Amino acid sequence: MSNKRSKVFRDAVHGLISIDKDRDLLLALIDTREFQRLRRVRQLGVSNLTYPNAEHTRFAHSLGVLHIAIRIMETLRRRHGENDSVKSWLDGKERLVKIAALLHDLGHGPFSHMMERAFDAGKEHEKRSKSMFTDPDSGIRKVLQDHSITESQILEARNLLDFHEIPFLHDIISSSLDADRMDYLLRDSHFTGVAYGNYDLEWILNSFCLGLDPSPALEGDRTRLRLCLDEKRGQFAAEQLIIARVHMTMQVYTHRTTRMWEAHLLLLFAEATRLAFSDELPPETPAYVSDYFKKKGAVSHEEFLKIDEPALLTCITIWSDSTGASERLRLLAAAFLERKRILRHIDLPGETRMNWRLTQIEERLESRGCEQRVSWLIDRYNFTPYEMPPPKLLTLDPGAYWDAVSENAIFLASGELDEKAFPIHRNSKLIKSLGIGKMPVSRLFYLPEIEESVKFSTQ
Amino acid sequence: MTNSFVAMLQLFAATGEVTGRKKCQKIVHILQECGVDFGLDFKLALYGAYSSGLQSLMEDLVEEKYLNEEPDSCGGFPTSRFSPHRRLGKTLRALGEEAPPSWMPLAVSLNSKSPRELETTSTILFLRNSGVPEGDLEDQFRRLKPQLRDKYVAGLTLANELRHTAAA
Repeated sequence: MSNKRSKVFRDAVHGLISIDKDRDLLLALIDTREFQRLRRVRQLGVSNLTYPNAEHTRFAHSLGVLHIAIRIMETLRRRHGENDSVKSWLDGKERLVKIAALLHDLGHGPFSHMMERAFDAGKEHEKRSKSMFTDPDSGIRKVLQDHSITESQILEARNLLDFHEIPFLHDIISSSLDADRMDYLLRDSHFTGVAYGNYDLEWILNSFCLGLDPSPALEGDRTRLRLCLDEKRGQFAAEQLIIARVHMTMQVYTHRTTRMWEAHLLLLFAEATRLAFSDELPPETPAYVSDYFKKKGAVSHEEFLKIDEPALLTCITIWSDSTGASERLRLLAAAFLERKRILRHIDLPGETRMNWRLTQIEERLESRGCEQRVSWLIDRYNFTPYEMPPPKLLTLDPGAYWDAVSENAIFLASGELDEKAFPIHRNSKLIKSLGIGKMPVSRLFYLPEIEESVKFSTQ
Repeated sequence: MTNSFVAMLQLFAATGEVTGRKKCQKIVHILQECGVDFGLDFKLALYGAYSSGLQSLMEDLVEEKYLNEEPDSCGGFPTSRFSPHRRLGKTLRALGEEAPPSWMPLAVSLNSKSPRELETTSTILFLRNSGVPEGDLEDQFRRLKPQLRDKYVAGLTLANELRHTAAA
């Protein structure tokens, strides 16, 4: 008789995360340098300066995403496992979905999404994640090969982050109801202590089913099954999740203090980049960090693995003491470590990226010699709670309507595999009223020395 | 300075009319793949590469009267025709961005193609950018876009030409 224990992780959000099936493969992936690095990248970047307990990492989040993806597939198997096609898709692809769920965040830079704003290369964390599936230097690739995952399966697992010919498999990884979003809302809510982010995960997991994509262009294509919620069970739980996302966005992700510290770090890193170009960073700065700034984040796989939060925080500590290189670097570094607020800000209420006034403010500041990313930056965040296409599109430009539905909708369905799903906004008055609303947040953060120029430019 | 708003104003100043949101999505995606920074994220949706941000930006551009929108049809299906409003040119002048961008000829050339041609090329570029190897490209394309099978060769030719344009 075999007597093999499950591998179990204790998790603050999900209780126990148990890994049974594909255990050896998944544990080997978790043990790679690439995945272990995620222990040193916090999920919410500098949010801990606003919410003291927001110290949770991409490592724990990635395990949570794996856990939810497994549970979604269990529900689908329970509900539709007697259908030969669904059974064969799940049997054949389950392992690949797990791999994609576990590894989806590998490419995040230190301080997570903040780094996406520091360099162009930072924006491409998804590309970096994907490259780790295939990079010959990557430990991930080696583990996948060692566990008899074929080349085409490796590519298929990686492509699941972007697309799949069986859409519901991709929906589990990336959609308005994906395992990623379901985990990060609960996790961020738990660790920030902002209770608004909570929603009924168990009910949602219990309500999953499949339904045909409703787009007329796919009429008759029986493979186009989408991940849906049962129309009789799922609507209110989905509404609650969307509301949770609104509140977390307004209260946590765009919190003024957090965004101010992000702006602070962006100015600091811009100065470090300028100094790195002329080899003027303090000499105690490790070469791989200098290189990271000099190459604006576009470093090799090996170099990337060394770039984590401890590395950058160590440098910030070094810079805070360094008098030779740049007084701006020293000041910004010291203020960050001591959480001493330097930046001032102006809310630009109601401004959207559309309003050319923001662009005008930028141009006015520059015309007065105030360089962007040196003494100021405008932080633009455009949030839509649920991206419902404007109803007029249905008659005016139906192709565009169904494209938007296919990409952004949460689907409800009867669970009959030959019946069409429908977008939640067809039934939900709550979503209808929220759906087309936009919540832009724009703020100008600046150093006190340009106060006069800011006054002039924002008049 | 590059942001989605200014880049979109420049696009419509360059192309004049564009018929259909789908066509606009594909033109912007292809331009972005060629190195023009619109600052937009694209996913692979029903009709190929698609950006929610661009969809929302288009609605804003119409609502705030930078663009006119008129009903039109394409292949017998209803769609919209977009053209620049007077305000668009005035805003570009006020921002000092009225000079035609270097990518204007490419935008004009893309606008002369059909939405299906653009969808084919845009999907090929998307797959390439996602890391699909050249050897698997056609197979992957045909699985995802069976309805565009007959356009693949022409779409690939355009994608290859664009690769040289982007490199230049």
